[in-house]
Amino acid sequence: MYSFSMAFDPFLILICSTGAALGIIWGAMPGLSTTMAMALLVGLSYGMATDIAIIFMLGVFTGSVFGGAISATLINIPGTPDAVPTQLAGFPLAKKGQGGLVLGTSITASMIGNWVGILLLVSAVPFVIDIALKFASWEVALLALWGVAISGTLTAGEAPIKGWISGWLGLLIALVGREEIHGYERFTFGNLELLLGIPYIPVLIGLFGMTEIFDAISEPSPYVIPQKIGRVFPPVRLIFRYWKSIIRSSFVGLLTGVIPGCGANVATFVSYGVGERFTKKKFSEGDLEGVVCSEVANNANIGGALLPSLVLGIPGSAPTAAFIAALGLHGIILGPTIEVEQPGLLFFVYGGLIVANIAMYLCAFALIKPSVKLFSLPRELLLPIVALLCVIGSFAEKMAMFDIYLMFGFGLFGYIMRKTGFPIGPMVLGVILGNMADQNLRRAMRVFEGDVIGQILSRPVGMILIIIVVLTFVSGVYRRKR
Amino acid sequence: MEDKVDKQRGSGKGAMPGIDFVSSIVLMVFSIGVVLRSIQMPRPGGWSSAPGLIPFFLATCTFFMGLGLLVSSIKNKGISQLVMKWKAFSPTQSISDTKVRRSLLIILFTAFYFFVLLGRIPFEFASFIYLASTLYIFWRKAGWLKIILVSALLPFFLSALFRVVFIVFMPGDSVFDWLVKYMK
Repeated sequence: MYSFSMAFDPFLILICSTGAALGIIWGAMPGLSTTMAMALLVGLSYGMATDIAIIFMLGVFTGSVFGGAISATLINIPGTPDAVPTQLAGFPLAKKGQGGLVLGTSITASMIGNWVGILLLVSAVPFVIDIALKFASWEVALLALWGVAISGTLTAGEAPIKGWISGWLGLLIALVGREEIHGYERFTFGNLELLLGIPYIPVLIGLFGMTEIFDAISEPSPYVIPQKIGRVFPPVRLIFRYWKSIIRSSFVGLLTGVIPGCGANVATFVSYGVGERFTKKKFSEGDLEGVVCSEVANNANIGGALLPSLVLGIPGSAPTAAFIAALGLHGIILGPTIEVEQPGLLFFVYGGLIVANIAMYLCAFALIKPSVKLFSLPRELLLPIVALLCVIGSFAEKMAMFDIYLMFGFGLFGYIMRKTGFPIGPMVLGVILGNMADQNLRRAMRVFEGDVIGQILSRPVGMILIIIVVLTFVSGVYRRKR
Repeated sequence: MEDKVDKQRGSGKGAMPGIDFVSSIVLMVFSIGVVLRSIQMPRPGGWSSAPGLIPFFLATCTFFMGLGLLVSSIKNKGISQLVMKWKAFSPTQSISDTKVRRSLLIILFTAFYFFVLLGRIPFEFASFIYLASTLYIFWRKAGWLKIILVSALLPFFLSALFRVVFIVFMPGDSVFDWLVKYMK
């Protein structure tokens, strides 16, 4: 409990509030996403103390997930991809002068979503740890492969095969360098810089940060800044009126969070779609219930995504992949033994999430009006500045120019991927999970040697996972044919 | 709207038969290369723990996925679409397209910043040159005074924040490193 109360230290509360405020502003800027913020923070958090880095990242994460709603509602441009449903339901109301009410409802719905996510995390972690501890190398490898496969299926739209290819390429990238079982150098081509492998921080920053810079700057988008946003605080009974949507969206947000690689954008779209079907309303004509569905889901997704990240070491979403990477920089390896190897960390994260949620709530109300003015900052100014942050973030860990070159290379590669319709998320997941899959799969094969089929058939959890992996691929192929 | 969402998710445009045709061939050639390299790797403890086992497995899967993409691209008239695009392609017209030109310019400027400036001159000066040139091209309406001010002050601010507060080193040293050396 000491670790839990540590998160309520006044200095850490200040750090968390700063993170939440910056996250809200960042998320509100069109073109600057939560994932980009988290990816940049990985390198930048290197110079921070571990507790400060964790709490600052949680603040930014929570704040930026909400921040996207501000620009989505007021200027009809979603600050983050997951704010698109909020934009669809909220902007028509903002045009009628109810922008403030939409944002106030978004903030309250976000806070409710966050609480649900935190409750799930706290209550489910012990059970998931119990299950995860029963996993041997074979099951861990299958879980990693499934994470990459499902992420590919869910992020590639109508062509899941492109998502799988992206994920598989990510896994291959992770195999570059000296492998840990025999010490053999794979795909280094004699390059000493590649001996320790391709570090995932420059990859992460390149794919999420540089790609966005190269792509977004090509589209100048003038928009009109509204002068009046009206009442901000929503009446309490307004929220209670939508209790069914709140419960439903919380469930959708949590579930999509727990599934590896399935981030807040999937959560909001699913929740919005399910909400329309249940209520038989057309949210896109302007409806606060649509805003509630979207905002509850994307915030409940945070707790959901942190669950597999903390307990299994498998990121539930792209921002949590960055969170795992940042903790890795501080020597913290997440997984089923987290309670033994990092005693108190889980409770500190719980406390941090609570502080971040409250900070987000207060900062959001305080920042609505100033952030409207910030929209006057054009992305032509913002994006080159982000490039500087990408440089600092990539260079921070090893102080090697090679990492900056790598970051640029992956930025360019990500840009080409985007233009050719390949999703970026599965590749990042592949790069993070590649070594885990490789080592565990080979260890399992070593154990199974002589009777591979028999051993595989004799492991029920492994068999279930194999069926899930196969079903993931089959459902993707079926969806494409349909 | 759907396109915008796809792009923000990082998934691009989905079905693009012409481009898929080229990507699938590149992928298949790449995966064959990885398979060949994996086979050549030593097997000190037998095949089960061989360093090439997983790359072999992953590259084989990638090959078949590439094959799947190729088949679906051919089915969706990817070849004829590619031929049509190739015939209609004009380098001068492409470069005159504002979107392409803006993307190319930022890529070139960033490459110059990373490969030529950074690491050779102090971070603040390299960043000043990069920011001033990119902002001059993309944010011309701001006026030169604003551009110079932002380009000069921002790198110093970032450098002070990260070098002094977070003790994070900058590529190519920082002016603050010089100051420390001078004061010693």
